[in-house]
Amino acid sequence: MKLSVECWVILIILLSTVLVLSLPYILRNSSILVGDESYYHLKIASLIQERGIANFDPLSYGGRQVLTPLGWPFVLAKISSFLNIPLEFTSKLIPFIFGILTVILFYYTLKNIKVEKKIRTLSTIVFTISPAFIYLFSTSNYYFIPFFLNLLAFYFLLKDKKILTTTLIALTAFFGIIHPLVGLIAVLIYTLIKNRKYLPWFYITLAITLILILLKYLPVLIKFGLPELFIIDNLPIYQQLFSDLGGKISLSIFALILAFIGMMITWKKKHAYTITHIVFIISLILSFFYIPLLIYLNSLLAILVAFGVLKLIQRRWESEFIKNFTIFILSLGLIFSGLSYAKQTADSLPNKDIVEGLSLIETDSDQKTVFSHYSNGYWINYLAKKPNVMDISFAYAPNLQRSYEDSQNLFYSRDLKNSTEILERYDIGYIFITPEMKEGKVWHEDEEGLLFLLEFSKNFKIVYSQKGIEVWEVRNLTIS
Amino acid sequence: MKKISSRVILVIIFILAILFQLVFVLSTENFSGDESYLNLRLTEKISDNKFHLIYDNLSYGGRDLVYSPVFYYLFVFLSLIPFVFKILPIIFSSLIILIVYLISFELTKDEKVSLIASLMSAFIPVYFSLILNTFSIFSLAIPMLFFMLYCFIKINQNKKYLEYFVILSFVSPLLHPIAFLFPISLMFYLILTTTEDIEVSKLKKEVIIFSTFLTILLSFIIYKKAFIAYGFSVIWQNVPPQISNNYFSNINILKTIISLGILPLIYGLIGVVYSYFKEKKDSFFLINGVLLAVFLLLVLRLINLNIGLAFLGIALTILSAVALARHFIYFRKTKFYKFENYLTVIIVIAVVILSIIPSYITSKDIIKSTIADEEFSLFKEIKGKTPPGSTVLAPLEFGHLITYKAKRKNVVDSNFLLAPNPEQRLLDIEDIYTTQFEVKALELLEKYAVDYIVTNKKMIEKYNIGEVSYIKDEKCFKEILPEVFEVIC
Repeated sequence: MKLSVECWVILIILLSTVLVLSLPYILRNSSILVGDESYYHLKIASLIQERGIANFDPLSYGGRQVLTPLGWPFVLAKISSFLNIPLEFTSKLIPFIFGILTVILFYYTLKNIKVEKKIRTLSTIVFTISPAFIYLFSTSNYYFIPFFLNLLAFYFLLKDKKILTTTLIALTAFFGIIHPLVGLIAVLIYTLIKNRKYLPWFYITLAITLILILLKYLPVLIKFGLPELFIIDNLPIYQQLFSDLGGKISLSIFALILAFIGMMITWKKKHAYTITHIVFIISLILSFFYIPLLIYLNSLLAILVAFGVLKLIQRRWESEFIKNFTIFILSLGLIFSGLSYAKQTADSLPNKDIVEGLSLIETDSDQKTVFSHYSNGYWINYLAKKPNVMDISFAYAPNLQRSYEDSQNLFYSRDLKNSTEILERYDIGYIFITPEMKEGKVWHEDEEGLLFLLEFSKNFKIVYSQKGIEVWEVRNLTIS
Repeated sequence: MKKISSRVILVIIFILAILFQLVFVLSTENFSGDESYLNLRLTEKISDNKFHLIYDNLSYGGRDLVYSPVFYYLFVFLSLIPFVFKILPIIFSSLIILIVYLISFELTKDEKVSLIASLMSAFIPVYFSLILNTFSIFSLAIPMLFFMLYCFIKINQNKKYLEYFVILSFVSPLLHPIAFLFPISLMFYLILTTTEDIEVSKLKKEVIIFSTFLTILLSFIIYKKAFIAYGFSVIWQNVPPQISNNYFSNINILKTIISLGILPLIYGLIGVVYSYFKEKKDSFFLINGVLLAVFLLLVLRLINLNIGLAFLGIALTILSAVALARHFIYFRKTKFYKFENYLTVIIVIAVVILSIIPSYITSKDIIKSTIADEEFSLFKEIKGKTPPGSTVLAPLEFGHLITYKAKRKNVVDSNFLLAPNPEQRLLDIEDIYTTQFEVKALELLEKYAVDYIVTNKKMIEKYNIGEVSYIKDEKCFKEILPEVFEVIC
């Protein structure tokens, strides 16, 4: 049987997708899950496995309501139980599979909206090596399933399968508010441009989805109100937008430059792409306020980049030599962003020493709280199975401001009486310290605040110390 | 009498400029400014380890380094030549004379004015203050960037210039981040030519795209760590405000004019006006693009004043050729056309008075302020008197000498990129030297794990103190060398 050229192209794209998605794990050379969010989902998934739907999280902030979307942890828990495979492995496997499916879907969606072959092939390649794609499908996160569902919904719409589209968009409501809204907006734009006869159907979809959103989120809003805005030591927003500057859900600077070239080119095409431009610009602006929108923007970006690159290739160049070099550099730029993001992901914490240190705390049967920087909160919950004082789930966290102030107080105070009070208030049994905390994340000096107390007070005993990771046990809390 | 060819005159100017610098450079064994010692150390590390240094365990007590090692590998390769670190930078930096001649000739097609421009470029005081008696990357980077401009101007005429341009586009970002000046200049060039409705050839547009993307890509690859650490603020290179504010705090207009060269400034400005309003050639706009790019970088404080002025000085010298050419054309139309040679002589005398003499004075000042032999040998002695791995405290200006000559850890040096908290360190060091309170000083000395403190009067004169107030306390400080104390408590 002879495969068509298109089949070969798809096959090659799929193989490179497999490579790209495996890359963070190959480079990491360890089976430990990356990042912090993965551990939050693991924790909630294990709660679901133990108790059914998890409404209460006993470990975060010493115990709080679970108000985050439960879509992904639920899927994770059920698939893990059904296939009888560990949660950790499932949280690597599912994003990986969805990644491959998304690439196929992305290609065929472009095909169905009659994007020419070269552009759709190039777009898919650019999409596959983009940092946002690597983030989505090589880590366990909130966004990959709803992104896939929205893409699938759009695909079914192109195929005139409206009921399936409605169902899928409605389903995304279980993964957060923003996803059904994005789905609805995409469908609305398509309906207004391509087929206004679909408007009644759109209103039904809108109604169903809104009802679901209201059913799911209104009780939370009524009971708890809007979440407090709590912003602390984040990267500047422009830095969060770009992977080359350390952003997590982010774009490649190179791709953005090429996308603008692509925009300039498609601008001339008699306004055929006006909507794409408007949506792209609006999403880019909105991303400044809500970074996860970048995952949707990334698909548009890939298409515009393809236009930009193809135009540069097809343009009549005065010098073939410069043309070849320029194209080589551009390709290298795009690959570099993806590769360096994969490396960044591979290098991200936790590492073996953190896991070891926290596993040691797990062996203590006492449910004492573990104190650390809030960014380590999820690891404390999942790896040590102990409550934390704070973690990065700031929305609706109980006594957030007080926990933060007490943490700061404890970090920087050398006053044993004051520190003892805080330790007692939170029933802190362990203090967990990472090298990053000593290198500026918390402290700048060797004997600053709590570090001084740890060294000179008899109330603390070091129980683990490996490559800068320290676990201190809090002993009899006497002022000595 | 046989007329001497322009080439011969050019070679004479080139040799004279080299000899002029050699007289000063060979009068001292040491380098001016301690950054040369960082470059020396990085080169020597490659010779010793066959690989460049990535983690420096002496600078700031141990820190990651982010830099491009190409310049250092080049000097390792050339290090068989005697006095390579003293002589080769002079030869490299003097290449600007030939390049200015080539560009000027390309702009004016007048050998005489091009020679005058090259003579002016041989003696730009601010250029001397940047590169004289230093082992600095700028001695190679500045001529290279101007040669790229020349290749860009000639790119449509001969294929070889395109090839040179491509090679240099790869090399320049690998030498120094100042390579960013080139794409920025080209952007201004495009803006100027577009606003003036001047056709830029397709090939030139293509190489602009190529070199811009290449510079961005290579910078991202080389400085990736720094980009992640600082974001776009990396362009300020983590230079502490105490230092960056100094770049511009003591600007003396008269001194600045003299350092640029009075003649290049006057004729250069006339050249700018002429090239913008009279003869609108795209190559004129290229040089104007460089001027604007340097202005932009100076206004944003992205480059040190001396570096910016050096670029301005050279660009204005090139534009001087344009003004001088007009000057001569006009003169030939007057009744005084027979006296053209006299005019030439007058201009050359003016160059001697207004460029060569200030350059001589600048060079003398540079050599005078070069690290003295006693200071230099002090660091050599510190090496003998202190154990390896100990930390020595001295003001910022001596940071690289501690690591190069004494081979000991320093608390601060001028390599700020990725350095841990240099702003705070500078404040703390000032506190250590100036505080009246021994307890406070001891606390800070402990903070940076300082084992030895240098209190040499000349070295600490910038703090306006006669001596360090608490240093005579024998319980805590033991003098191991004249004005070098061990911290013992």
